[in-house]
Amino acid sequence: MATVPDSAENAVRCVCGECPSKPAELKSFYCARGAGGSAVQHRGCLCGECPLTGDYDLWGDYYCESGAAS
Amino acid sequence: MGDTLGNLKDAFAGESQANRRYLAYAKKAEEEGYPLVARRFRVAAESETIHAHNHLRVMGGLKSTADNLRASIGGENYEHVTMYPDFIAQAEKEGNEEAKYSFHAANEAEKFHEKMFAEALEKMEALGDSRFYVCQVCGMTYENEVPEHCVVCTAPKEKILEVA
Repeated sequence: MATVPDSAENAVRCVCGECPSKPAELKSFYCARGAGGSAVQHRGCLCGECPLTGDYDLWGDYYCESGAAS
Repeated sequence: MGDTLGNLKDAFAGESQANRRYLAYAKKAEEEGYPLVARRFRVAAESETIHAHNHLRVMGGLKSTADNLRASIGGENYEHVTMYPDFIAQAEKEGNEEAKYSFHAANEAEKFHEKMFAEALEKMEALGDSRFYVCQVCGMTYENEVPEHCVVCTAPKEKILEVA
């Protein structure tokens, strides 16, 4: 598993903004930027469907809670 | 109490803030199921806009479009070169993530705004008919093309709306 660069190219492919569990905050793209500052309600996680998961060989989910992929 | 010019500046700032505050209150009232309260906030917001515009005109803040573009370029540049970087650093120092990303989102948009105004000033008489879009979540601004997700907040493209 690789770290995910916080680039514009990656940000526009990130699906966090569509996720039902995303906290109501401006921070997003959690696998690159780290955990959010708000409590996460587990209503499903879209990380497994995100194109970045395949590109960077990610295996986790709820990066909004656990922090950046490393 | 200061002199009248100072009072006009203070009143312009206060009325401008009241406009945005009331629009935010109206949105919140709509969300909470109080559409008639929301309407009253929108009414007051509209009125405050007129007050602000009057104060700005009287204090000589409305010049030619070229001068207004120059002033806008200066303001946007100050925000993304000095103000927001300082604010982001301070928010990081205090561990206030929410404020940091609020400042970050604004900072990214201000860079675009400066370029948009600079192009308008440079090509004022032959400006291309670009289409512009604003992310309704973070305010990031786009010209002609909208990405699948907002580059700043990752909101889906459905949240990025054209401004006529």
